[in-house]
Amino acid sequence: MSHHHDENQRDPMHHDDNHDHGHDHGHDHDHDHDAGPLTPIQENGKTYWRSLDHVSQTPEMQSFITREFPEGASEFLDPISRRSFVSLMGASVALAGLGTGCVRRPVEKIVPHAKRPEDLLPGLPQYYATTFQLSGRVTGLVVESNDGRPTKIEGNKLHPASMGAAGSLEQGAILSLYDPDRTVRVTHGGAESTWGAYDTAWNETFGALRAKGGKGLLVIHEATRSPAFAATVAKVREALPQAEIVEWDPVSGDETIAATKLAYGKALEPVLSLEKADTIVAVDADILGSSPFHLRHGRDWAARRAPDAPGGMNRLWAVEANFTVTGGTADHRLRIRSGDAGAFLRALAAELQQNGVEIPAGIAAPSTAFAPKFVQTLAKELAGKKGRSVVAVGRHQPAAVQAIGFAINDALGNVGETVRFAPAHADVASPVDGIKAAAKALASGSVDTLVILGGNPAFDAPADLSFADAMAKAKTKIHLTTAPNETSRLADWVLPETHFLEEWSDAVAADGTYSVVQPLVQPIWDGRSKIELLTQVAGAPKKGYDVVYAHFLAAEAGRTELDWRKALHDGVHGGATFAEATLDAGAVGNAAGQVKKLADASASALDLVFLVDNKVFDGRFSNNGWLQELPDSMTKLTWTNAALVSPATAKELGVDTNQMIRIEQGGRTLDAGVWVQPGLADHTIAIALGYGRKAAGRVGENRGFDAYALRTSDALWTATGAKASKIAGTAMLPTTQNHQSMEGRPLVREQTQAEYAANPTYAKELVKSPPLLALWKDHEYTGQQWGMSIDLNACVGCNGCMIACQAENNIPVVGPEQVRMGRQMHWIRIDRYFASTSSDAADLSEPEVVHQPVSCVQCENAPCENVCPVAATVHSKDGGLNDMIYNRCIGTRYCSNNCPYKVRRFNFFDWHNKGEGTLTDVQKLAFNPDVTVRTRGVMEKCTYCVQRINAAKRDAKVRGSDVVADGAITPACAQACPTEAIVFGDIKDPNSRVSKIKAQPRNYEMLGELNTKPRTSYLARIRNPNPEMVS
Amino acid sequence: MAKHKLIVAEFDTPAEIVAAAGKLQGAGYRDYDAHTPFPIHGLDKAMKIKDSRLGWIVLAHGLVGGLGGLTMQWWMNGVDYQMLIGGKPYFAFQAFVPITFALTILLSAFGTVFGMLFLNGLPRWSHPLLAHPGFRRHSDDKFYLSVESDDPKFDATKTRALLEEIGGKRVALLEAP
Amino acid sequence: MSQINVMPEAAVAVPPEAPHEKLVHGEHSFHDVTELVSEVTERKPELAWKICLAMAVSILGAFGAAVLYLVWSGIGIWGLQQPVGWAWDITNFVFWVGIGHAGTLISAILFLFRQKWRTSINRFAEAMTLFAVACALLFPGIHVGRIWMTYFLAPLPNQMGMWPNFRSPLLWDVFAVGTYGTVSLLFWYVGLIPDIATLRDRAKTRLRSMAYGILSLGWRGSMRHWMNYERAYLILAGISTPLVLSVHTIVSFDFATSVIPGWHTTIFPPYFVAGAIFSGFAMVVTLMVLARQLFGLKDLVTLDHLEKMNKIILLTGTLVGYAYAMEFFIAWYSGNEYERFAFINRAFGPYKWAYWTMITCNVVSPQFFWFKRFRRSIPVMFALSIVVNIGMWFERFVIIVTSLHRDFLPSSWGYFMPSIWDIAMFVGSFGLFFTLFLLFIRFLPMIAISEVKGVMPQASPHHGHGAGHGEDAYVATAEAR
Repeated sequence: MSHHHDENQRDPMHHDDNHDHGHDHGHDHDHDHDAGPLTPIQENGKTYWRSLDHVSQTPEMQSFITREFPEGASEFLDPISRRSFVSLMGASVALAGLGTGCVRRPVEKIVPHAKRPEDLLPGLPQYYATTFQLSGRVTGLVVESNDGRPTKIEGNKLHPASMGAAGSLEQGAILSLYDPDRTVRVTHGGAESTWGAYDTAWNETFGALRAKGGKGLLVIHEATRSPAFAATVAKVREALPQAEIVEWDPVSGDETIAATKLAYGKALEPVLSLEKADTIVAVDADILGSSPFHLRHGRDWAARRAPDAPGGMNRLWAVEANFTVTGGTADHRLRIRSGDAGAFLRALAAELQQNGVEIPAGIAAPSTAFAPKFVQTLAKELAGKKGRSVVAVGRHQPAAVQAIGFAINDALGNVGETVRFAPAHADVASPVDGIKAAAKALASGSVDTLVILGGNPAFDAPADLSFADAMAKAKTKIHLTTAPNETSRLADWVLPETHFLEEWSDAVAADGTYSVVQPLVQPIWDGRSKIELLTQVAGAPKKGYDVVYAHFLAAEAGRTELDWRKALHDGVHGGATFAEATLDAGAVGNAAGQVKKLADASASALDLVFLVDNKVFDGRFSNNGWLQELPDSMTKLTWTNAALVSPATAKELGVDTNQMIRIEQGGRTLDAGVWVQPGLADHTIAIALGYGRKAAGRVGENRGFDAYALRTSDALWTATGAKASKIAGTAMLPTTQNHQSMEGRPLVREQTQAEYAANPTYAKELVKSPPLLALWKDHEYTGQQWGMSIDLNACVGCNGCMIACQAENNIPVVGPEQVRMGRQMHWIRIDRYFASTSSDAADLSEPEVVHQPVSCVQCENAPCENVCPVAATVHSKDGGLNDMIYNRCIGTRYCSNNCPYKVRRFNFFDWHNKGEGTLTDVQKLAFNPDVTVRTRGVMEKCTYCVQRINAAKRDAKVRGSDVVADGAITPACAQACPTEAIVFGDIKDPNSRVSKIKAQPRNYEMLGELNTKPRTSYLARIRNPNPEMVS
Repeated sequence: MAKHKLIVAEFDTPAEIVAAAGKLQGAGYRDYDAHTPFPIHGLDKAMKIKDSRLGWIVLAHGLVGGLGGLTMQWWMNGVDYQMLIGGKPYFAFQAFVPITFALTILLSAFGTVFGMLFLNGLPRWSHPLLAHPGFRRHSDDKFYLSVESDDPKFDATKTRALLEEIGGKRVALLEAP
Repeated sequence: MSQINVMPEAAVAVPPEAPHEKLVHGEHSFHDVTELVSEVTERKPELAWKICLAMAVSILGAFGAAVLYLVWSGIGIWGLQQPVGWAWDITNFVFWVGIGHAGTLISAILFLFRQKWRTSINRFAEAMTLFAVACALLFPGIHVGRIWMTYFLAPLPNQMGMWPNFRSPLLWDVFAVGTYGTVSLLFWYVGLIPDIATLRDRAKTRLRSMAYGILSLGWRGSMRHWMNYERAYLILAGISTPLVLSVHTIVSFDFATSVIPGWHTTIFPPYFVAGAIFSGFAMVVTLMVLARQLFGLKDLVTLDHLEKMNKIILLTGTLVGYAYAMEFFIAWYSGNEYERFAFINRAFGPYKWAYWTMITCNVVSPQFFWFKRFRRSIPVMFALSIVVNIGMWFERFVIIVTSLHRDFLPSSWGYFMPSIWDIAMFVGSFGLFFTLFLLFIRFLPMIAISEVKGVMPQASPHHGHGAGHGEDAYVATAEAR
């Protein structure tokens, strides 16, 4: 991939005179496909197209328009689609101009480059570095832009939190840029308005505020790690000292900073170096799943995961209530109640003392309540791994509990080795204090002007604050938001906010690495960024670029324009910075004294655990079809959350999956559907936040159940004493996997490390089959032949590959009803199987779980090809891929029936024009131009990203070589994978990375006994249990 | 030349017409025919009708169908547009058997039916016999002998006499319109 | 005549095994046979027929509407899904093809075996075959995702310069079933020519004489023609016999050549053919019982005929039962876990209700035919023949759906449920079938007149004289004088 840092490229991004440059690109894109460049002549305000007839009459043009923008001409009456249409669809506008007889102003906006910037080759994608912030998680990204349209988000190799990988949320965020339900204009009291009107109104307000030193002004903003933003906040405090400025974010708000202040006396960010750890203990901490830096954690963890990894294979111990991907990959897992994490740590500390580890006074508290053997063995192992182990405690755990974790790491000499501390971005008090104060102020009616920068407090503020009612009391309510939501409904002014791909900002990663947020496209809906609006609140409106640029130069002496350029190019500036941290043992000891084991829960006094959802997150992605349809890693539920309960508890409550129950917690109730989740702690109801949105747009409304209704400020993450009672009705929760057991079939093959050492080829030889002979001589493949290997030992089931594939390959969304019918379209899926560890195979209370990504394995003897009557799926001789010929396919579905891997997906309907999948013109901009958009009635499936293969071949040819270098081709799935579980390359070249991996003894072919000769093979999963636990 | 004529005689039972036909044949008539509601076994011998040549026509068609079918598949999949399918060879004859077989049968069937019609000179929608009102019962329960005027031994009076002599009833002379 | 006279009416009681069984009962001359059969097509349509036709046509109309909607919105309107890519569509296809086997089988194989009793039922059975095949051909046609592209199936030069894939069993199907339909049509029509001539010669109205005149191709019963005609018939019978056996064999290849457990089975060809004969004969019995009641053809279509049919139903039903058992044995014997699971899942999985319905209808119910009492009881055979066809529909459903819904990867297992459109299409196809059938029995001789005459005793030249007589004035003779 190439980063462009040419001046011509940068300038359009931040100079006003090149207004709407993004749209130009959009236009370029259009006519690349039809006629030559359109050169408009300005004449008395009208624009005429010199090559108009050329544009409009070529058959390519006609078909192009009808193909890609069918509704175009007809939607001219609807202002919104008209705007998007006019401002975005260049060539078709030319036609519309014809049709309506006059071409109006917007057309000027889509004039193509008068002069093409030197390194902009129409049709060739470009890549820009930027940064994604999500509730204080910072991930460096590289975004692919096709002729001005951002189409694909990928990780930035140079960013510590990404290392080139990207999670499902980061990648899915691009769809929100094209969300048809975004805030498209300023509205005042629900009526259409303008920025001009708002600015005038604000200036009056501001005058009044300044007179009172800002008294009566309340600003609520989302969590952010942007220095420029922080600096702007400071400016506001200068200008309006009396103003109240609080941060509210429903899911970022964690106790870690409080914990470091307790343990080390200053605000710090713990940074784990898992690649150095032999033993990793995750206590209610989803370090590989939802926690900040999880991509990095995955990469580092995987580096030591292979049985033959340099430094030996690591061992992961998970202690948790909910069944997370971290618990799924763990070698040992202990179910505890979320509220007992502290008690567990104290028990562990006690055992460590037994093993001669010096634990500060007041921390250790022996207990036999937690599987003594587990604790003892773990303690013994940790004691032997001083400086080479990590004890990670969930960031949502109380400060004292996390502090105990720090103390244990300290005692084990891990601090400075596997655990380091970076200065915290900001000294945030307890996450709820701010919103509490805000609600109080609002309720007291002392707030004249309420400015809410992003977020959705009316929906996600703790229920006990009844924020919505309080908010009503403010005189003027201003909401800057990317999409109208529950809060906007209550606001007077609703202002369009820029998507992060449209705005200038910056961010500091947990380890202190600085990175820039730079726009890929001019604001599609004329929005403003939080920073821009905040500068206005400070009384000095500025462009985001100026603020960020100025702050960058000011932040450190000696920074120059050149550093800036480099920062823009690389996406990052400078590296990690770490701080000294000395433990205040006494303080921790005292705090630990308060940490007691809870009284046992029961079916009548349940624990209620709130989960951060990896699809809709805190609810902000509710209107994002890709993420809604993404199956949850563990439950495989799509389009909804559910009240997760363990099998045993389900029995006690007399409920089963899909049964509706009423959850009662502190007088608040919620009706939700039950999902029986193996491996969940007993007497616990775990439910994801962010569902049940009431104002989320066409896709996201009324999906699932609103867990915020039960969430109070004193129990943000775990509540005890909840009741659940069966009520009438069933939920019909849509899931992509109906069967949870592998039925003892040799699909995912596993060994312990010991077994592997004794018999490394076990997986390869597990299936005995008669000699695989053919009636004929096998085809001789010549030249480069593509193949893939998937390491089941590294896959954690994070779903990153699924969204990567969806974005890269224009995969449609089908909606919950169709998912229920089993018609989801994902080209790559992650099969998830539970296996009982008890003697009773039906007992899934303590299950092992395996994840297996499955996409088309590109069989050499492909069963699908034989049966297609019209030869719509055939083998490519160069590369040996199993190709689909969409325009040849008549849709007999015979290939899918005959596919043993069931990876083929059929377009039962025209998904792009049906139900939740329906696309507007704006959404069509998200399409990858290199991949055909499939029509109704044809079969589709994984292509190994053949468009990338061909691009790489083309580049090689340009350089005069017929051979593509190893690593030059990375399919989207492999690229996104944080643990590098997926490797692609030339299997003919013995030195290619994939060939070397396939040569490993634990490499095996799933269903190879069918003589399908799959090109994708798997590496067996190796577990690394502590021998003492096994015996 | 003279108008085409024929003389028709009616018989009541298969036995009668078989006997009569034998006599007519014996009398040296060749260009004559019998018309019956169903094929009568023995009548062919009496009339000394040669064995049908239909079989050869069918054989030819069958061969064309079989060889043609195989050739088509070989050329289309094996030569003209080679596609690598399921790792099989371009000319995967094992897989081409069913269609070769089907086409053999199909062409044979066409050969049989159209060959039969060809040999019988059908369709022929107008024939003097069909114009004859009594003759309609040939498809019901009566049996007819007709002697063509093209027969060298044809003689309006003698032939009529002969037919009546061998038991023919309602002997009639028909003229092509 | 005498021989007919001495023939007691009690002949009905004569066991069919008896050496000199009579194919036509009652006292009938050639003319009576002509009369009996032709008259059906000449008299005023009775109310019952009109009502039936009205019903059939309206169902057909609904079918047409359903197909239009299907083409309009996509086959997603069916219950199909991943992993069940085929369900009722192909089930119906195989079901109808199976039924379509009886006709040609009766005409061809029984002809070669000189089974003269076939003469009174073959026409009828052939017609049923044709109409069943017509219904069958519809489903592969409409089940595809892009119906307007189905012409890709034909080896026609096209804009892509591509040819179909002759390795695909589905393409074999197209050729096999297409050939079968065509040959059956020819066979049927050839048989009809002399009888249409009969109708032509009896025609009272100009329209009828024109229509039948054209259709009979000017047939005039010439002995020289009969010679070629009989040879043609013999050859058609000869080539149809392997054809009829091959068709369902090839249909079974759709499944047998796949890799799916429950499909990938070598026993399929004979098993499918047996099943086809089974269902075909059952359908013939159903329809003939109705027709002979309705049109008073009891003397031509006798209980002996029906009993023979029932014996074949018993035989093939038992063959099919054997196949079911053998599938299980082989699954167990193979030691292949996927294979074993497929069959255990069939009998005890989510679709066990379908499986046991199939067993009851196809294996248990025909056993009643061991008893002569039941073999010769009209109500019993009527009921059983319907039960058998229900069972055979379920057989195809079981084979297709239960094999697909749980194959290799448990992650991809699913459960198929039909939508109202699946049901509409299935019921609708009966509309087409019965419409064609009702038109056939009204306008064409439903019994092979000339063939029946040919097997009557007086048809033999060595038979005593004195059949037929008539003293109608002979106009032509007078004129000729």
